[in-house]
Amino acid sequence: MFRKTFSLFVPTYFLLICGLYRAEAATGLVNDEVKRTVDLSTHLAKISTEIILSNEGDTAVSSFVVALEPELAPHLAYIGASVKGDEEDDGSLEFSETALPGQSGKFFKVDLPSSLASGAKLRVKVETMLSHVLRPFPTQITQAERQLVVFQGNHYLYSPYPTRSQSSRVRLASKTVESYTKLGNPSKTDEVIEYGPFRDVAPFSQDTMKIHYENNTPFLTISSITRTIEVSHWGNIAVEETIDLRHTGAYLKGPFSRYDYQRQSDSGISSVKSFKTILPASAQDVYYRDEIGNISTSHLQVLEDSVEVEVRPRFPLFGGWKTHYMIGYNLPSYEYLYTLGDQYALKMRLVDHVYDDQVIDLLTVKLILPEGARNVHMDTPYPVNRDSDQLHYTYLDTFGRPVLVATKSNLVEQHIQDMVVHYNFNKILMLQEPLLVVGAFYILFFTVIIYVRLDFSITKDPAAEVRMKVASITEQVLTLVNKRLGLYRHMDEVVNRYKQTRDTGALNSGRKTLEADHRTLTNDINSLQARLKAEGSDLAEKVGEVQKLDGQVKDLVCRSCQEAERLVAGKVKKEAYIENEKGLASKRQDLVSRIDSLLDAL
Amino acid sequence: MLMLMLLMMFAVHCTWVTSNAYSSPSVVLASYNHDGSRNILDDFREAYYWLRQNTDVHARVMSWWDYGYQIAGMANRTTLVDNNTWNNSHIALVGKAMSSNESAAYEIMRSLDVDYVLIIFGGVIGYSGDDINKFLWMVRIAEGEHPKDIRESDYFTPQGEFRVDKAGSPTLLNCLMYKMSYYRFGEMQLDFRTPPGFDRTRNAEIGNKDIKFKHLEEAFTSEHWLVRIYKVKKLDNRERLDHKLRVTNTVPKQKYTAKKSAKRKRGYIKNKLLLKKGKRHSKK
Repeated sequence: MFRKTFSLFVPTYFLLICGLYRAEAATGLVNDEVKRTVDLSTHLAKISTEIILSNEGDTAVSSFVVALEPELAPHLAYIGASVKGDEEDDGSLEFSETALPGQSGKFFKVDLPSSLASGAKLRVKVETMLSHVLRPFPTQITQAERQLVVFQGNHYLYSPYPTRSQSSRVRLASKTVESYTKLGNPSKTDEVIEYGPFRDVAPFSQDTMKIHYENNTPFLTISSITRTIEVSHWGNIAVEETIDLRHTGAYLKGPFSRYDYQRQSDSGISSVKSFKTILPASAQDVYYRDEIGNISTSHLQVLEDSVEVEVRPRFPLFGGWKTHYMIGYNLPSYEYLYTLGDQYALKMRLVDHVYDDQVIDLLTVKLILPEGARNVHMDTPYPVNRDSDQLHYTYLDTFGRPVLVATKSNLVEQHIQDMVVHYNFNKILMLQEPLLVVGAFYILFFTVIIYVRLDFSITKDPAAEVRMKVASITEQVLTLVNKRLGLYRHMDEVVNRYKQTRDTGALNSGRKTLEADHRTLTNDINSLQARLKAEGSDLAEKVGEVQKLDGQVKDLVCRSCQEAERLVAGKVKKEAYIENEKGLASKRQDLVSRIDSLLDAL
Repeated sequence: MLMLMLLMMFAVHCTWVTSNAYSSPSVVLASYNHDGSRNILDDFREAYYWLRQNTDVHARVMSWWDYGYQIAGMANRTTLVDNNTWNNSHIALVGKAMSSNESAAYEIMRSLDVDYVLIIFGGVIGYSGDDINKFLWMVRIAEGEHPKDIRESDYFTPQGEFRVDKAGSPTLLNCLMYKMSYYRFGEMQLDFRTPPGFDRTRNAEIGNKDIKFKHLEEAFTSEHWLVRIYKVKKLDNRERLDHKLRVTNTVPKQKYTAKKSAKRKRGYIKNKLLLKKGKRHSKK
């Protein structure tokens, strides 16, 4: 009773105040009907308000102000508004922070898609996400107890405009409620408390709503996450996230009994055993490790439009416990990197999904672009703090890769949005890496080639020198002997041709060339033999023997030539000739084989 | 050609067998199911990482020296004794703490300023390298330095056996290592064929199932109970009384009913002490 009259007095008093401060409130906007849904079923407070704004002023209005209570303002993680059309949602509206003089709290000016004419109504939906606003109370619980949290909010909608009628619906995490404030006779069914309807509420009105209820949902917070994205133009983008995870529910008091935890289903009911991370669909080579090695407790499931990793920390997380891990994967660059000539654009998520209803206290994004990227420009969907660019040196880098660093605090799931980074990269620079490798090997081989041919001995070793000289001379001897033997074969051919054509002229010329070449070769070999003797090598005798044998072979060749002449002239019969020829050939064969064996000995 | 293939496969097979039998890692245990799938037991790293993340940076951990370097490397905490084993008397102190009863052990732990005690217990999975199997060595080393306090023969049965079941020696059943290994284990029934509290490594049902600690508190036990970490509690502000408190509010069996009548009767005191006034001695 008293409250109703009081609420009638209050609006008049407040309207006077509002009359003095005309800044925004005098636009004549009035909240006709407000339906607020406060979702407290997770560890975040999600307040979604449907407002029917009506313009009761004279002029058309192009924007309106959304307010947030001063107590809840520091916990604000995300706020968004959309206009509900007749068909569907019309997309989100532009937000900008303003300040109303004389009023405490946070205010946001929302631009309407089209100006609201005087007398018109518009249905707007405002979504707010508040983090760390559910306080565990009692702050310490044992393993067997259940976790109770307190939410302190506002029964009314905190708004700079008066509200004709409003109702609130609070959805809780469980049926167990220790206590809740009862303004205006709320009704409570299983997990839902309905407040209202409250009529004619003045602007900026606050009435503390305190609900103390049981909430055993996972109270995980990421205290810090570092997301490193390394872009390579060879077709791969490597993403690695280093995460510090903490349980921010009621602290565990007393012992942790593994027996109770395993055997009783409701022991440690507010602890976190595992959670699911959803990675991009084309993620490959996923690894999950920490400072001391690979963590074996995880499951990977590749689905059509995502890759799900069921991440189980090494130990279950109770209140006050924390853990630290790294998750990394590779993505193909054709899905995220767009190029037109020298210009490149990378479109990737600024922060990715870690677990449902995630809360990140501090995010650091490090974007490593290939060497030689210039004119780097980053477009983010929401404001982030850019730190100064760094340089990162890794394989085959000469002047370092540019690193963009951005930080932001207090993020939730709604912040998983794409960012775009534009940069220029000269395609010739891609050759730098293979050329470096080729150049390194080239220098190595070149050095070895030169080194092998240099003589670094301090004193001249005579025996080694003599041996080298002898070896070179022997090689020359060998080649000359082989050439001589070739001459004999040539002579044989000439003889055979003479036998067929009976061309004496050719035979004579052949004989003459044989004589001439033979003489030159023999002279050369003799000179080489003399040199060998000069060096004092015993191979000289062997060469002498070869010369002797060679003389005999030449004799045999001449004799066979003569026999062929005689055959042609008819002085000797064919059979006799053949026999002689065979004998001569066998003798020659012997001598040639002896020469060969001597040559091998050389 | 076939022979070549066979010989190459043989070389691969030999490499695999020796790597499995002689070089398998002992920090991560693996067991194979009937269908060939591998089951990994990562208890050691789980417990060391818990120590690393959820204890104070300057916490001191007492354990047997086998795990010293692992605790220093993976858990990044200070240990009392480690694999270097350069200080035998210090190891003997730790052994004495493990083999004494809880109060004597607590004195040693307070003097060494220990925050956590770490033991390895293999009774749930049948791991034979746990601390109860190494226990006699702790006793022997402690006896070497403190022969008057620790005697190895105390831990054996009169017949000379080392038993952990009911027939075990009472000194063993009340020592700190036993209590830490089997705390809450007496309630655990691993499968229906064996009674609760059946130790798979020793193949015996433990003797002391109802274990209570006065100065220690269970801080963490890994998933397969392989590593158990206890927190050493600080001294109480007040010592608990050992004797029973006197009860003064017993209700008498017979309810006293006043025998006064409706008329106001002057009350009287039962067993009233008669006051005898003394006579003052005359001064004269």
